Amino acid sequence: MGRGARFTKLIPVSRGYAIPWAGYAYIATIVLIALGAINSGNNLLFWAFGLGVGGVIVSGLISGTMMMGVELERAVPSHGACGEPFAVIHRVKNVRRWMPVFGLTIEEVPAAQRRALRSRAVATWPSVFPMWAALRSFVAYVPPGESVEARAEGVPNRRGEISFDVVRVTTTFPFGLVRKSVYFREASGRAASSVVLPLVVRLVSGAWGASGAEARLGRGQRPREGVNEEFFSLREFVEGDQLRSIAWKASSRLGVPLVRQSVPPQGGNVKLALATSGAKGVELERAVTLAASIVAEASREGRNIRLDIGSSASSGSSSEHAGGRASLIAMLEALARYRGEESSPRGGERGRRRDETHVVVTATSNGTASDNRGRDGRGLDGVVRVSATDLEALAIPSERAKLELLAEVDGKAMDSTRNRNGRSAEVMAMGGGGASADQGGGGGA
Amino acid sequence: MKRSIDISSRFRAGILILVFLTVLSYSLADDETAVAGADRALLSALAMIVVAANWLLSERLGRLGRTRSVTVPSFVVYLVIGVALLRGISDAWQQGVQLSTFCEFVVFVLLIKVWDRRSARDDAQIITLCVFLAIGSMLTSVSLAPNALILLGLPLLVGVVMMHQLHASRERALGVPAATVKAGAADAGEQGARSQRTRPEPDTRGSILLPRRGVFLMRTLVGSSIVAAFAISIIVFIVMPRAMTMNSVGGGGGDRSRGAVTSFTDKVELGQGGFISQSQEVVMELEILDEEGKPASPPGSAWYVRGAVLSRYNNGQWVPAERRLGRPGTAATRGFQVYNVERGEDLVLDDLTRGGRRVTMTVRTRGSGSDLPLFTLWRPLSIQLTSSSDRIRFDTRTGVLKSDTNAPHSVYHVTSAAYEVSAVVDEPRETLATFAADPGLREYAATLLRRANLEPDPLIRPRSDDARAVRVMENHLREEFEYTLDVPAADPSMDPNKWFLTVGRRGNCEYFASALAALCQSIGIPARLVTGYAAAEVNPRTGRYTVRESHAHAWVEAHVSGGQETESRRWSDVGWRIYDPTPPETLWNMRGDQRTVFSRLGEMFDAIQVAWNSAVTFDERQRQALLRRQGVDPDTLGSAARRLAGFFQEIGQPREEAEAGRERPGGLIRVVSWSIAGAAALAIGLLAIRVARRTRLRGLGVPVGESVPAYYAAVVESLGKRGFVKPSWQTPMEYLATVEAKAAPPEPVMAACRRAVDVFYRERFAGIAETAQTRALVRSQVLEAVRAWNPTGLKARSGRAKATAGRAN
Repeated sequence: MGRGARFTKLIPVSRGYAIPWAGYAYIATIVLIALGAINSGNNLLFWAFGLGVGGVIVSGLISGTMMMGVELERAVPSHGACGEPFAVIHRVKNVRRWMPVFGLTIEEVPAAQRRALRSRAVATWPSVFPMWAALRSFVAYVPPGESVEARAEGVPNRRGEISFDVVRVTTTFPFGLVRKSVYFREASGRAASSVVLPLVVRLVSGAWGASGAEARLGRGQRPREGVNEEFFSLREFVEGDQLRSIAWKASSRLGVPLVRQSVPPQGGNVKLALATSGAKGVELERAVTLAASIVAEASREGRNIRLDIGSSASSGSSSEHAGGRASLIAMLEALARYRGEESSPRGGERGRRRDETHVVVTATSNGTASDNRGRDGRGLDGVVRVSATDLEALAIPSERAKLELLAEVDGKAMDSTRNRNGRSAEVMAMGGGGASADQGGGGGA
Repeated sequence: MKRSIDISSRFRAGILILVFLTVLSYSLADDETAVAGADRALLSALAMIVVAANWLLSERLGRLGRTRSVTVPSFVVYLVIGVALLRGISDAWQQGVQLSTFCEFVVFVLLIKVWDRRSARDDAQIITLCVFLAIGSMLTSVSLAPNALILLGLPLLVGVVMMHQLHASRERALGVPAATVKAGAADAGEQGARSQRTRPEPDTRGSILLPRRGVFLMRTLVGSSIVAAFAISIIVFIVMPRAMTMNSVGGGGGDRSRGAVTSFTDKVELGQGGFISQSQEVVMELEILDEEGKPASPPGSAWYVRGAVLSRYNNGQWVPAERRLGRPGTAATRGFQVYNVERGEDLVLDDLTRGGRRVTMTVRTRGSGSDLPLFTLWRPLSIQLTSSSDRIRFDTRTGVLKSDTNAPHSVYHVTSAAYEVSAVVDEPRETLATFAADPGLREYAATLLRRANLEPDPLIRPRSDDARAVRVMENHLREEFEYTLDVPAADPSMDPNKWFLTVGRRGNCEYFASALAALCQSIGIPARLVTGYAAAEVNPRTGRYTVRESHAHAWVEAHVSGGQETESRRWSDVGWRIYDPTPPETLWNMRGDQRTVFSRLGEMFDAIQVAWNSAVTFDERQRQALLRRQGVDPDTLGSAARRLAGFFQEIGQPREEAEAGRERPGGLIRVVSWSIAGAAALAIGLLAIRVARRTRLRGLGVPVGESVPAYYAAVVESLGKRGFVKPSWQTPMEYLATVEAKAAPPEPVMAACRRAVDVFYRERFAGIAETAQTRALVRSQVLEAVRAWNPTGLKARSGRAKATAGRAN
């Protein structure tokens, strides 16, 4: 069941009939039988012809009776997540007292067909799903007077706000001669809406801070960070973790390399700004993904986050830090609606508070040159800048496969990504956590 | 807890049983099935082995976790189908287009197709082929056995089709690219029934599970569907007019004479197969007394009761010789005499003093008797009608009596003399010499006669040897041939008599009589076929002969001289004599004095056969009578059917040909065959074009098999033709950018393509649907713009591209 799903009643708006190939073949066959019967006088052919005609009538009666007894409810989750299964639940009720319902296909109808259905609402769900995807479910049997739920699942590969409008319930039962459809839409006339949150990947430890970046680049020793940090938990070793963080005793005991996780040294207020001026398409998506991942990572670390994404989303900017799952969802929703407007994040360095780490996620490496970076990985203006071009490098290896979803948004991105992998040292900014980088950020752009 | 039932397993089994039943049905229908010389038992056994092996292997795989049926590589399937197709074409080339050729091809395809069940579409193809084969069986034979199998398979067919719909629908729902759709609710019908809020388990094995109640309801639906469809079919069966176009355009669709009930007929049709059931219905009772009023024969004697004399043979049919009638009530033209007979009047037909032994037969008919002639023993001397007056037609040449008004006669007396039926050979020569010029039959008869030291040449052979010659041939047929009521179908390319003598060697009395008559004629002995009844069953209580429909019989009268004479049969030197080549055991079986349990069971089976054959021989007359009894005008559909009949008549045999008397047998078969062949060729051609086009489009980067709008496909296709093949991973926008960067097309090209892609994006992602006119306009703009563009340095891929490029430049 999707998060926040609530069933709403749908009402039938129209019906449709189509003859599939099997139906045409059936008609052609009984016509031939009729001709053969008339010509030859073979009574068995007359009987077979009658049986064929009877089959058509019986088929119409059964499927018509079945479909007139179908009621439908739909539950659309309030939000889904890019790269994760998104399920729309259809609840089919058979109001007939004795007639069962067999073989229903339930399908969310794309917007392109809404005109024919005279529906004012718009179904925009295909915009977040892969091309040619369909949300369909199948119900084999609904007992008389009872209900059955079916899940229509798909995996969205884009973020955004989407709506669901018309649902088509189709059957070819009993003989496949006619495909009967009943179109349903929301009784309220408004489309059901949902938000697909951006793709979130796990980032390497401290990926949006100086120490993590260093560790990922393998260029230097992690500074003294963490020595006096309070122990938080153990987790499995992943590529990019420092050797010194390995909990050797625990690892030997369990036979699996484990690393210690510490409570962040700072209580952790983070201000995350998204600077994507001019970025479009895959670049924008990568930036949003990186920002969403940082937000999720910071939330996981228990930090309070303040999101500043300009004016593109009404709820995208907050003046106060917030923590917890609800605020995380709210921020991810804001990122899901983010359209990459031209205006720069408000506040900037001037809006930064002294007790917070200011992270700016940029879509490209332009403007994040390391020449203004200090020893601690921060820029000279004290802002940590992270470029979305390094997304693959920042993600832990097991999560990198998820990023292929972004390539589906824009195929060219795959080539670009591969190219960028070769120069993944272009991390413009490191910082956060108050640590300093001893080798200062590597090569330039 | 309620247990779920895996209907997928039943579905797979049901299809296999269906295949076996239909193949078995066809095997029974066509015992001439020529599968490399094998007979029907072999074909049935082959089907059973294939089906059982498939089932066992599939079940074993099912236990190992696989749910689909076991399959063989596709190339093997195509290879076998190709071989079967070539064989069918070869057969059709050599023997003409025949139903059996098509059915055998279907059998081969079915038996290999059960090993190629990869998707619901394959299952649908198998079901369709089974239906075609069942129809083929119906066309091949209307006898009870194969069609009873089809009837038995009908509920299975309906159930399998319903289950197939479930599987096909689920496959359609699951077979969506890039979207994982689970059929959980489908397979958790039980859970759904138990609690609608329970999240169903996802389908992992591809099976569809239904609760017991669901299966029960599905069975109820199957039963209800069959009952309803059957009721509708009966209505259609009765309402549809018959005999409007009976073989008017060829003999497609089987023959109604098959599966006939034994009864008297004045037309014998040979060559058709089918089981002839024996109706035990009593036709009449005979009392045969001599001149002293005593029973004319001791108990156990058999009498040949003449009904019709069939002298004319053509295309496997024996019919009475045509004669012209004079005006009723007057002296007839040559060969016929017509009399008005008053009730109770004793009408003298011939010289009462003629001949030797004289007997009087009293006939008491059952039922209306209006369809029957006036039966006689030998040549009639006088007749007395005791039930009603009538006009009687008397054929002086054959001695056949018939009511000229078809009035029923429940009781009449006929006095006959035991002498030759006619002393002269006065049949038209052409009707008697039909087989005289047949070298095959002549040689067959000559061989028999030489073996008996008789001269086959009629010019050399003494006339006195004729009777012996006929007797030799009669004995040969009695001893060397097998009598059966399960008559095999003759090879349509052979004369039925030749087929019976050389290939079939078994048949009913009609085959025996026809063969003897043919053999006689081939060696110059006039012979004709007589139909009527063999009266042998005596009612011990009344002493009368009971004549049933099952006693219908056919024998031969040959015009011979000489031979051995008995005291009771004082033949004249030359005359028509009775010969019965049918093995005499059949007459003994007619006596009916040995009723055992098995014989009663046999009668029960015969009763079923009679009911079945009554259904399959339901004709226009019965239809009209039935409708009239229900107060319905039977001609309601008649005019429409007549128009349709005329239409087909014209197709099968143009009017000028019909008027010219030229026959074109097989008209409908020819029309339908050519239509099907044309349609198949067209379909294959279209399929080939489609495959070629899809291959080409796929090569150009156009998404094939998806609902791509035509205007977008036009962009990709036209640019692809110019060398810019779209990679599948590229988005439309990126693709256009790539083309622009590589070739810098003219602005009109890019503008048209951009507009098309914009529309595509709007429709696809923004939900803004364009009108059909807009789509068509966008497409035409794209095609027009790109057609006029020949990218520099790129070689045009086709002549058309070259042409358009040259024109543009």
